[in-house]
Amino acid sequence: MSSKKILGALAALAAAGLVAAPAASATPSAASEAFALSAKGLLNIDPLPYVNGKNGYDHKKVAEVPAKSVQVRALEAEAGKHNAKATVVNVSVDLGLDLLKELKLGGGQLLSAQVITSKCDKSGVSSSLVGAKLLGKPLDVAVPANTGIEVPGLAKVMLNEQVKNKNGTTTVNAISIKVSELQKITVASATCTPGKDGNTGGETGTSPTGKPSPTSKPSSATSKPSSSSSAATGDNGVAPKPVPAPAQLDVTG
Amino acid sequence: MATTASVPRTVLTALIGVVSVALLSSGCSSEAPAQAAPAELGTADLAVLPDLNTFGKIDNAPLDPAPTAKATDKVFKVTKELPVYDKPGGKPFGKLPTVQVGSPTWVPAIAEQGDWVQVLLPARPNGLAGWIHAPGSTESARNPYTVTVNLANYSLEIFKDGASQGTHKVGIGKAEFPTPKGRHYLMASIEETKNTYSKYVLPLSAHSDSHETFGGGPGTVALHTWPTNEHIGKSTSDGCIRVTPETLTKLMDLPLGTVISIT
Repeated sequence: MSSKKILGALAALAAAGLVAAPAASATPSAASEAFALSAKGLLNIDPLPYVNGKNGYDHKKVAEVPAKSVQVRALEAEAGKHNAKATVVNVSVDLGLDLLKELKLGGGQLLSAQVITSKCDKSGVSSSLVGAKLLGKPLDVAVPANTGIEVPGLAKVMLNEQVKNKNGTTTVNAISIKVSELQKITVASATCTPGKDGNTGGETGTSPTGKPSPTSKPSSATSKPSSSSSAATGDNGVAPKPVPAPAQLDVTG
Repeated sequence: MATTASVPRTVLTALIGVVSVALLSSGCSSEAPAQAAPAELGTADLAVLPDLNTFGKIDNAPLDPAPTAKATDKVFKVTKELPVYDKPGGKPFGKLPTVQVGSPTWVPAIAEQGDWVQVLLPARPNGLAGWIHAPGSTESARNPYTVTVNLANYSLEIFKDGASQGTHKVGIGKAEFPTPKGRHYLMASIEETKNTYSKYVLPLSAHSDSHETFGGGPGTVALHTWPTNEHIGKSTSDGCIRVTPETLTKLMDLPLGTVISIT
């Protein structure tokens, strides 16, 4: 009966448009991207919220997950040209008796955590786990890259998983869980394209210290006419004129 | 001089006693002395602080103590993830990231105490303010510009070093979704990649008090144009301030962190 129920639930999820998405490393385009949570298998959650920096800075935050098994206070992801960040706040994943039975797991909460973060930018790649437990096993706040841990009942757990992708990007997953061949879960994933020209999607050489920025002129000479020279970048410690960053934000019209 | 002489010595002694007690008690509190640098936060302590961005909301937050007063002319660029405290030497309640929707993080200073600077912040609620310990994680600059918006007159005025640079007619929020009053600031400068009503948008630190979210976003109030100018001088938006393309061009010259006082 449990299998039927699960199949039914899967069908309902599929009908709701919740189809498994490819893992970050399989993305063909070389854009920075991030998501806070994804699950593939009996429990399916598309990377959520999914952002990428392909068309400019993108930043999304959600407070709900379309799956009963997962409770969160917030899932947040942002990605720019060469930076990305994913944050999960107050998460708990309870697979429920049927799924636990299907996955041959004992009872208990699969995952709980206060804050899980992963990020990459010009200063490096990192992830952290605060108050995190996997099937009751407490996890360290910070661990070296690609730290595999043994959790009885789970096929594979990798913390601070860092992967160099074929397209040149680097992905960091705070937690990568393979419950079994039937279920994978990724928590807090950030992927960055390599680049050293700043850590923001729209940052262009702002220089309050008096040195003119070499990059501000070409970028600011877009279609916008320049009407003032008084706010020019960095004269005598004067705050610079900003350069618009390609980005998307739904403001209040 | 006569005043000093006429004050009885016992009163003076008592006053000195009071001052000493006050100094001692601040020195003995569990928090660091106000002027000292805060202890560096560990990975976990920093990680649990909520990000102070336009998507954030801080409960029981310290607010701008003087929303109608003039800010200082200093703005600070955050160059490294920076904890924000409820008072100098107080408790951290959030952290400023280095990026706000693709723009570098700049915040305006509204007060200073030694190396501690009280700044306006981009998260909810409106008027959120906190203290940063500036050295090491910021660059400061002077910003001669301020902007005032008078909702009743549908007018926006740009000032440089206190001198008016011109007044512009604007459109504002409708009665049920009013443009929020208070001391806000220019948070980011973006070239919109999805929404088409305005090629450039200047999001403020302000949020709609009536729209908790809007169009999937966090209800951020912004300065931007509209496909036509028919809304100028009217209360028809959902909280944003609609300006003409000419006005937007002038506003886009202003540094991030420029204080926008809405009355």
